[in-house]
Amino acid sequence: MVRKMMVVCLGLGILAALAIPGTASAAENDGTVYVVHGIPGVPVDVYVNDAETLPDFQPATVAGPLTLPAGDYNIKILAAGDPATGTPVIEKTVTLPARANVSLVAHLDASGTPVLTAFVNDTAAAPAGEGRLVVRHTAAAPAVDVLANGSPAFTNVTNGQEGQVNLPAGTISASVVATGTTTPVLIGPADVPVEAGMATIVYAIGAPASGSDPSTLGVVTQQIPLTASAMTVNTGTSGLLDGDRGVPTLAIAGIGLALAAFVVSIGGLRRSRTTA
Amino acid sequence: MDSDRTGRFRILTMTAALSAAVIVVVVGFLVLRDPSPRVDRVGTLTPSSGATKPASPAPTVPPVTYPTVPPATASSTVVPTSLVVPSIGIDAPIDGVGIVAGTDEIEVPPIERVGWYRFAGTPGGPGSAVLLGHIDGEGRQGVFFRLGSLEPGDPLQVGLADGTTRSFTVVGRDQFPKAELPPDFFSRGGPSRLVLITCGGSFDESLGRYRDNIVVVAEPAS
Repeated sequence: MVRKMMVVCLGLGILAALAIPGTASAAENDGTVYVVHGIPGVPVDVYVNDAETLPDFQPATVAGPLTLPAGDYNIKILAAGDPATGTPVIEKTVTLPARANVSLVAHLDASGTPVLTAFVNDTAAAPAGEGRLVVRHTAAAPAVDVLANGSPAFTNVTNGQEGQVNLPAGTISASVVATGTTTPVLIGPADVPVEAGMATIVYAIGAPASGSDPSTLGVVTQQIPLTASAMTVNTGTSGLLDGDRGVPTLAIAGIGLALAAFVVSIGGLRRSRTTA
Repeated sequence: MDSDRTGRFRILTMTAALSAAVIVVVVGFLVLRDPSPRVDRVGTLTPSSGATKPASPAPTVPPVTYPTVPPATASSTVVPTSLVVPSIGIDAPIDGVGIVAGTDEIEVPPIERVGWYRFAGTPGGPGSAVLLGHIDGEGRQGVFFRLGSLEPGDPLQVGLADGTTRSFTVVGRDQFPKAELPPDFFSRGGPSRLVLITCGGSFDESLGRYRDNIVVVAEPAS
């Protein structure tokens, strides 16, 4: 009973605290940021608001998660080792929305120019036992189709675009082809794990062979947890341990007896007063 | 007033007061009593959001190197194979379990065995590793019959398929109506923890099921 009262007091305290404006924690609105390096062959230094945040960040790797307050951030990407005052390979101001989960991807656009794209990751729950496969076109290539186990899963995806689908946990054999074709395969086939409760994000990166330059096409894979979905657990069928059984009937009988005693004694009191 | 009347008056007054007190106490008990006398909330079951939050940085990002996420690899999972909980006498094998097809219900293993929900985390890995077991069935006590008596600080060990053992320490215990079991206990993200689930509360004879779930959370032993 004491515990219940304490809980009630605590509840009132919380209500009182909520009633005071401006006490909400800023952390509730923080966003989550990953940084993906999708430019083959060029290690870089990443500066956030002029502070060196990822020194010597290697191509085809993913960094994070970073928890940051919502707001605008100046992102500068320089060739690794260049002075902070040097000319950035990419410079861009990105907006981190409140509570958003974002992947900042340094990659090539369709014409081969380095750019920074902020993809917002959908972390909504997938059905129980399923995961989410996300594909993102971040390579210096025209529109592509993504084949999953040989069949087109995403079609006519252009640079900077993405597609996603929820799938039962398992492994997908994925390959990338020019849109409307099935050969030649530009990237893959590659085994992509789809894990329940996780988003597996596959980035197509690099550029096709050009003149004497060999193809640098490839993939970077990133996995992030999704919001968990509600589950049901039924692990008892015999009722051997019943927290409530029997208590109410006993208590009700007790109240009945006590009520009867109360009524009788009050009646007696009245008579006793009248006769006094 | 003669002494006989005074005595009777006193007895009746006392009876009235006593019975009123009994009513107040019993009604109070009924109103305030915990729906689950056997399982009290102990310790803390900290919800963890899906996303990991390493720190709360200032608006200007400090020059820190953050860990690089390794590329995803197919099924590098080391599955759990046994659970030992000395304080309540559990020493049981673990089976991987999935979903009852077309539902949100987790499959349950035989009464004497523990189920590891293979669509959440692995013990010692990131996020929640979920183990479930029967409280009872077929008229017998199940492997998790005494789960509700675990206390913070109780040790437990999980054996893995690679022959290694992970040690955990109970940090909290709670009970929820089944429909209100927080999804967060099945999260793939957040800090590493072990979540043990069974049934509890009152038994619904018409459905042949308990109305609540008992949840015990343990963290890697330091």
